Amino acid sequence: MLFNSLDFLIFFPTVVVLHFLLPHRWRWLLLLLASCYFYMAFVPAYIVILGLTIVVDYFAGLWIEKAQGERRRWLLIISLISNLGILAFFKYLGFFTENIAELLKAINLPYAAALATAAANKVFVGVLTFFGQRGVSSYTEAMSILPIGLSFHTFQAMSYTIEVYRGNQKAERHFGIYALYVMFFPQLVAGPIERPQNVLHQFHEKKTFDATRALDGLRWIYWGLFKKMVIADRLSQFVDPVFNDPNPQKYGALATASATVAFAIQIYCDFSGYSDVAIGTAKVMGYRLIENFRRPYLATNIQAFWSRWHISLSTWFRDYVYIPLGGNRVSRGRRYFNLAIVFLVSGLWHGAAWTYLAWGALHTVFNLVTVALRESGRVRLPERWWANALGVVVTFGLVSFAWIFFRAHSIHDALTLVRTLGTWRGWDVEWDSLEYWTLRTGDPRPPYRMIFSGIGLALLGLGDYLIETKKDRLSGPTLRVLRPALYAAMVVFFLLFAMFDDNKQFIYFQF
Amino acid sequence: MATINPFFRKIVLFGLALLGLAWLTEKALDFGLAHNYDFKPSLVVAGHTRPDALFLGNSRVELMLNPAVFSQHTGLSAYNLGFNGSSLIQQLALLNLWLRHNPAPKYLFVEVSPENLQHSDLGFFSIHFLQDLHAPPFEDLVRRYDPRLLTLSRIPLLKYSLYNQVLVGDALVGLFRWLTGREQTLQYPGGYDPTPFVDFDETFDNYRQQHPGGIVMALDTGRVHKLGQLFRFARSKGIQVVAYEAPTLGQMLRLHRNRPAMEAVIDSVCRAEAVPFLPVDTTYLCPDRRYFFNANHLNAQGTDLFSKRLAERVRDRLIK
Repeated sequence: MLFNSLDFLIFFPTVVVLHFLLPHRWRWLLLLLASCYFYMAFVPAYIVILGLTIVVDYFAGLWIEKAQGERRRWLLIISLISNLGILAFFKYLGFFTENIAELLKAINLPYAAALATAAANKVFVGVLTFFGQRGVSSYTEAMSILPIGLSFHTFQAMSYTIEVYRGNQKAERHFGIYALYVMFFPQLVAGPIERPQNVLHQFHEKKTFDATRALDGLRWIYWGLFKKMVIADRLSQFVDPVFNDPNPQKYGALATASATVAFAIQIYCDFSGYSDVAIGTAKVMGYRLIENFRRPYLATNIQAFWSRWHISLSTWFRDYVYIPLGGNRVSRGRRYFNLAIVFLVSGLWHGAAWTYLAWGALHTVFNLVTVALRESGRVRLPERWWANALGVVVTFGLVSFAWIFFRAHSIHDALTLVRTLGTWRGWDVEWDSLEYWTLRTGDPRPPYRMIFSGIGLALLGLGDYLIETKKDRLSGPTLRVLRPALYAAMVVFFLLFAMFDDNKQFIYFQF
Repeated sequence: MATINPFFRKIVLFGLALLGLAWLTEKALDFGLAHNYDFKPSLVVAGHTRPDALFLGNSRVELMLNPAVFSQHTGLSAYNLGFNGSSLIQQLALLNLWLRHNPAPKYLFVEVSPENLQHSDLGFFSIHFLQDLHAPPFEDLVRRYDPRLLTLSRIPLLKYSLYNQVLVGDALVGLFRWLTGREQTLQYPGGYDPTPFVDFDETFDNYRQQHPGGIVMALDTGRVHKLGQLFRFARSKGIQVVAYEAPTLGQMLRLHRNRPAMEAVIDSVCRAEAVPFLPVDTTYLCPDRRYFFNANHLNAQGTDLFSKRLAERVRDRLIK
């Protein structure tokens, strides 16, 4: 089920009302059933896979807690292999088979290549048919119907067994509550990737309805949907033509640069919008999820960017990959190597394609250069506003450049776009190309909608910010009038400018 | 319980504020849309134009008929009421809308190509009848083809929300024009908005690659019947109807294996309804990609040339 669907508009209030009407001891069951329903709205049969990992990890957690020494370690390994095995099968089998087949062809073993491809297809199609996905003849066709949000809930499940192994978390005895930890619908398919220490205990606590908290949760939901449906989906109209058909004759350097910046904003609004709705949804019911974004495009360097972007994933890699590899306590060379591993794996986490690996590799380079420059002490910018502004612009430029590889359909497409960016054909031609690009959306001219929505957004955002930060200085009656008026204006604005398109999934669902 | 009561009070206050604001906004947008005369249905409803010749059709009229050029060579004033994707059902409804608010034009030009008689998606745009939504026959048509709009139009603002991609921008343009006293300044006089696309794109070559053996168009008898109905309705209102076929790239014409048979159907409908039919002149524009931006659509240069050519044929053969 999508947050930006009519179904969710009915589903969510129903769950909230039932949640507070039911006695505390039954709430976990309601939330678990609601989460199953939410997940099964995509491909129902895949819940079997999720159920399997839940059962394995639940018992792994209990046994790890009781076990000692090597047995403890082996139990963790079994749990991790089962989680990563499912992830590897569904997400990476196709990619690795394809590349192994190419390699075999390159060393003149075409029969072996054909055999590998046929075997992978047979296994993959067999498994998908078992899950009711008929009509698929190869793994390449199947990529779009894989279990949704697989990487998210797999990582969340893994963090549980690792934390139990480390002794930071007691094993959960209640099977239903453990299942709910993995399946809690607000963050099931696209995070934030939670830690057991933050969430599990909340399902045991009795929640009472709190109007202030519920309103705050609704504000989070509003702004999340706003980012997604008003900004991200609108921008996709500008981004898609350029990235789906990179053609230097149609879209020159100016249009391609604009589309690249538009995608940087689109993906931020799309993904952070999802996280905001997830946080708000949980908040209305009384649960706290961790913050996933902290104004990442205001970061003054690439390392700061990664401490603000997809925080739950960055910290996951830090805690479960970087630190176990030695963290900062190893030699400089080894540290750089560890850093490279983290970013390359992070690229691969997003998708099984060379484009994601290239994106990870670019961020590896950006990070290593930043760290090396800082440690050498050769580049030291003063703590002045202009230096910070310069840092923000450069960081945004680098991040946007890397997004080209993330969004492009292939490395070839990405390189075409990069070449286009580097080919300036003169102002007249570039301007014509920019105009051609903007006209693709079919907006009426003059673009009052864009102007009006920009001004409206600024006013509403400012109004919301002022009311929330200055509420202590406003009198009760003023606040009672201002708040509903502002929220009503926000809803009206949303109705006028959001894109109500059933096909607009969240970008991060595919991961 | 103590926290629930203030919460519900807030919800009620918010609901009232929302309803009031939505109602006001809808009225403002209705006003704006009604005053944007580049939004063709608004111009039709306002009754601000009195052309001798009215052109009906889909994008092959909307983008491929320059009324100014046509007028220059025929002496007839003209208005282009073409809409991208418009089906014959839509065209009949638009003619109804026109006649509801305007006197009958002397001539009605209908672009008819074999493509119009194929099975395809419907092409009925309920938003064109928004200002007469509850008047017959529009209410019945909208109920049949877009019942969602009828339901949502009962709740303030939701009709704009449903089609905000088109309507909100157009309503804002109208509102700003009215506020600045420029409501009579039309960006697209005569209803013609020249396409910005100049160069021939790759869609036809891709299409041809996918259909190396050519294609057979499937005739929709319902559409044939609807074409006859459109002709009869116009003639019953005392309008002289002319059917014509706009240019298509020659290579595309050859790709259609049953095009002559489909054209014969058009010809027979026109004969049965006593409507003169001007078939496409395949030697003019059709062989040259320079005049097209895709196989079915002329660019602005091609449009001007075709509009002149059509005007000359009309002047020589039809205008007494």
